[in-house]
Amino acid sequence: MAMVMDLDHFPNFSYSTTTATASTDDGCNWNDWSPVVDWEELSAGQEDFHHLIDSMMVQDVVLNQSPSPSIYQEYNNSSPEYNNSSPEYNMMTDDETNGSDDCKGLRLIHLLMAAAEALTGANKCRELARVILVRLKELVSPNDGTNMERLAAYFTDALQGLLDGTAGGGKHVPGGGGGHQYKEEHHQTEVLAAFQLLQDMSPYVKFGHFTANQAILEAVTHDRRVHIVDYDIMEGIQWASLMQALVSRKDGPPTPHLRITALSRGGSGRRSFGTIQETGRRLTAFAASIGQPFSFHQCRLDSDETFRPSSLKLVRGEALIFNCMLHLPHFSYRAPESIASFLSGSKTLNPRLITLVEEEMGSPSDGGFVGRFMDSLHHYSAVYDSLEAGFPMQGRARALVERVFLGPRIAGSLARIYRGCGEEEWCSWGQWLSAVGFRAVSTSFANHCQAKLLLGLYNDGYRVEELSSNKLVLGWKSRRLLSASIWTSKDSDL
Amino acid sequence: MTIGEPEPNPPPDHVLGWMGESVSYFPTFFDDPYETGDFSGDSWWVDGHNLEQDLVNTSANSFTTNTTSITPVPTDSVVSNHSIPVDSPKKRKLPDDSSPKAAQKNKNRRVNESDPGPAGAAQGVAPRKTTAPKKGSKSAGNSNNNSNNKEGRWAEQLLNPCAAAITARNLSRVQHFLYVLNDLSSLNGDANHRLAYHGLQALTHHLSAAPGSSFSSASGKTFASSSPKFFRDALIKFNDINPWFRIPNNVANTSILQILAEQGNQQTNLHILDIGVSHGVQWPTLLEELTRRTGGPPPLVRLTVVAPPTSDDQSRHTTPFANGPQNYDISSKLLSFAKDMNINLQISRIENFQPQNLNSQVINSSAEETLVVCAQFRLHNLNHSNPDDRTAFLRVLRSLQPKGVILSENNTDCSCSNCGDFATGFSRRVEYLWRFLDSTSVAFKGRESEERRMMEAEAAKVLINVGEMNERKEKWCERMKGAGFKGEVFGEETIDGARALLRKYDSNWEIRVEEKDSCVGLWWKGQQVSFCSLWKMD
Repeated sequence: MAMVMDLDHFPNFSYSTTTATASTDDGCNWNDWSPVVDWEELSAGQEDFHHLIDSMMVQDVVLNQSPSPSIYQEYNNSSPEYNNSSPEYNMMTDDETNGSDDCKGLRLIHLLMAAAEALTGANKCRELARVILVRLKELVSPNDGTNMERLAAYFTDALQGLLDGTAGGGKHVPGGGGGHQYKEEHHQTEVLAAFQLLQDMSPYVKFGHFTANQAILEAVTHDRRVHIVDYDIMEGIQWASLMQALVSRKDGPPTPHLRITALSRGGSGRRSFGTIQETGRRLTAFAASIGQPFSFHQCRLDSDETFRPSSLKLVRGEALIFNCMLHLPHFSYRAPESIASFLSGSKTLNPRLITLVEEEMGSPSDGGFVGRFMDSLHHYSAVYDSLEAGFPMQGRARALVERVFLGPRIAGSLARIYRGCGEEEWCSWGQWLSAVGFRAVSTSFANHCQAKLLLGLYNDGYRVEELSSNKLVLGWKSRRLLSASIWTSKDSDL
Repeated sequence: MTIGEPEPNPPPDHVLGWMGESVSYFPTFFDDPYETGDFSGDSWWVDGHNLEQDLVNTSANSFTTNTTSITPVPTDSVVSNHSIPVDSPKKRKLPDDSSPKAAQKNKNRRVNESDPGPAGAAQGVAPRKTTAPKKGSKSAGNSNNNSNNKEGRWAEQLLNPCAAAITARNLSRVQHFLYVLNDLSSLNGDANHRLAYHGLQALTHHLSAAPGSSFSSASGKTFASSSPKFFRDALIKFNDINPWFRIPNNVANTSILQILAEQGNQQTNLHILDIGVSHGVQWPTLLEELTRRTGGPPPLVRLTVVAPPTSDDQSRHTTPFANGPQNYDISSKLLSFAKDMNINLQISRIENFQPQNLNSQVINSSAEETLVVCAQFRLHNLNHSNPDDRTAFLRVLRSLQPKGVILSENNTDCSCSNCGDFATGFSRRVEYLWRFLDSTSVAFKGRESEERRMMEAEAAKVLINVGEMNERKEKWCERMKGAGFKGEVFGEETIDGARALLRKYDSNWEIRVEEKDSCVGLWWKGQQVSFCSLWKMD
């Protein structure tokens, strides 16, 4: 019930607030898939921090340009207008403020980059990294300030973790850590609220779900039985929309039987066995309410999160789909070994379709840690900007999303690239699938159109791009953020 | 506002952020004996009728006993403002590396402690004893005193790459480093923050300066822009807590006495040619020593001060520490002091010194007097090639037929544009300044003061001074030999006296005497700072 009070402070928020509150009992409100309020008109005049990084890369910058003194004053005033989501916040984006914000943003980027440099490479100097992080902590806080300031705060924390050696624990599993400690930190209602907010503020969640689901629908048009193996089901919201689509096919074949097998992990985390059961119950209840034949199963991963194909129960004649969602709302960075075991395990089962949604990172094969670090910073600054454009006035709402999803993800991301630095050539999971012999499945025109339609509901800074025949990319302005790609095993009949 | 300028009004929390821990030291600061001005070096003119008392108490015994009652400042008494507990365990191990050195020093100390210290000295330093343990324990975690440990020297990790980027004309890298430096530099922080500050000033100056333009130092008061009284007091205070100049001064004085003693005739006049940066403060001790000589002082003591070229602005042609305030006049003080001592002192001053013009007529020397040249930290400002003014000047000195020459210089590589690119020269300047700032931070126990600021701003001129044409000791020795001098061994009392005096300072300071050339080397944290050498005509 605390959520109600919290969220009541957000004007214009009643739509999703009520659903989030209701979810205490019966989960997210899956029935309501109508687009959220069009925030576009509210986002006029928002700041754009994204270009800061671009501008610092420009070669011929005037050397004498310098932060103006007003930065200090502003920073020193600990401006109250940043501390809450009052409407004035948006009003004060006059030129002067923007100018000094930009300046401070630039300073922060340079400091972060210098700290990253001090952690690695020929001029490695931990003392320098320490001093820079001390300075950064004086300058930023994750809870207030501009986008760049809050983002810098999470990057500062993540770098501090690398410096202290606490990031990701002692386990030498790339990407194995970073995702575990925070699970317990957030109350489930907070997570749910943040998830709901993320859904409403951005097309991230729906872009992945819709694109994957559309591909699935197209692939199983004539099947009587469909079996989806889901790597990280979370609250199962993706499948609610799929069921709706399956039952509402006009003039189509009869609704097929849908079976979902959710992979579950050991441990007592939020998505432990019990929670997945809860998801199953909700999905089952939802399926029953709309007349979708449905059954739900779980398949436990090994203790090291390895997937064993033999642990799957398969039924002859069903269309087998492997669904792998790795992008933003999905919590931790899974260990690459675990993801690899899932994807390569799928190959032996000859699935009809593999749907993969992952973050689009640059491929800074040069640059080493610092190059990847800057790419990360670039990536998440675009995410921050897009979220701000989605909910320009909802500073606290964004702060919640940032705290629950982005902060941990940034920490995990940096820990991964820090450990993996120099070890192996970076490649996306899509590239990996292609390399191990999966076949690309073209995205349909309808799928592409659907993605465009979806983005039309959000800020016009979002872009969809068909990067290859089987891959749709969601971008914010010039930055690619995440991609959905569709694959099949070589011997499949698709 | 350009990038290098300080914020006009640094926000309070900004300052506090840098100051951090050192705030807790302020109370002891005010208790500090040096703050009250009753240390020996200052008193000789501050209070006329106490002069003799003070000098007897201190200078007279300076060879062996001056400092014996002083509790050594712990090696880790640097008050740096950013100690973080996390680092402490690692950092604590560092001083171990230098422990053999420390043990050796302690042994020496014990030997000397058998000499009873004079009451005056003990009085002056007593309060220090009480503060020392506290400092030691408090700041144990942030000592970066390992001799060759560069890990703690983070400012150089920004300044040197920035200079390298300037040399490589990589503007985006330069800009990056300037941004970072701008955010980490501070005039109120620890030695690293200060080095970053001065370095940033110099780099932006280098980037923006039209050739030959003057450098308006935003670093605050330098020697030339201070009031004479403040300048004098600050210099004396500095000498009392940092041996940077004090040891070379001390070695020079005892060497002069040694040379004088070697002259057969007790009644020859003494003539000192002062080409130095001591601004006169080294001479009272010598005068006092002269009165204690068997047979009394020489009938006439002449001091010929060779003033550096005056600088109308804080030009890039100013040797650090050489130019005092315009109307600084120490002669009358020295004369009245000498009068009290019953010494017949004459002081003359050669203005607008042109090296090649120096000759016996100019300094009015005669064969009967004992001429001693005392050259300290000034000759490295002479061109060392194209044209080689330096060798030429050493020959001029030789032509004066001095009975001895005492040469003290920085023992570092040259940073002029003929000896390396900008990055190379800059990194050498930075390294020199680091030693100065680091040792000065220790000397002032990390606390802020006007005196400290002036000394550091003056030292920071090294970063832009075009005349920083240092050479290593070996090269200097070569030049001296080439000019017709031969190296002379310092007397035992000179070495012992310097060692005894050094004991009063931070234990990171060392004196090392090279067997090979018998130069006296002054070292800070295991690194060479300067050397003193003694020469006679071949």
